[in-house]
Amino acid sequence: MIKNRIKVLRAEKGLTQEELAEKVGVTRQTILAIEKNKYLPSLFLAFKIAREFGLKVEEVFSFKNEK
Amino acid sequence: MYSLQTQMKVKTYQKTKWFTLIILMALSIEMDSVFFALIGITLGMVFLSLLKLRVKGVLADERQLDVSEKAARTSFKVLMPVLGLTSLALIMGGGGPFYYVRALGIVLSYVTCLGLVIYLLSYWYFNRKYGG
Repeated sequence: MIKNRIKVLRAEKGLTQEELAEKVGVTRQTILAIEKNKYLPSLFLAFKIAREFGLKVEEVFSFKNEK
Repeated sequence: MYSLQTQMKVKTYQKTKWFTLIILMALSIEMDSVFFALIGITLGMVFLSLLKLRVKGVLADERQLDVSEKAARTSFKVLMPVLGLTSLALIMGGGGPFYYVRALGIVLSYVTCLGLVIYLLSYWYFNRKYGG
């Protein structure tokens, strides 16, 4: 399972979902779906989101092995 | 007056699109002439394409494309067996005085085959495109 810290990072940066969506070129619904772990972004989008926060991909998204 | 330089929001575009499509459908049904209906539809499509250029924001992102791909795949998975089985039933059940039922079954079977051919061609194309 892949989890993310987008909501927390957004709050730290003072960004709304709409603003982040605009910056990375997706809709607000996509950002919402990613935050709720309902949608897994593509590698390209994951990199864009991480770059927006000035972090590495693994600092925004984490992989947890389900057993 | 509406300026061509003005940008519109995505929601406004979508409302305008649906309104235009409904008007076009109503006009095509009302018009007796196929020629004028086709002109109306063509003009409507041109109008919507021009409108799309004025939209500020993202119309379809990767998630929406993913969703529509999954919806298309599900529709295909449901439609093809239904069409195939229906055509088989009509061919077997038709005949005699119900020759038109058999004819309909044959037409549906050709439609099913066409769907399968399109699927196979698309699969071949995308398999090659993505390194297969």
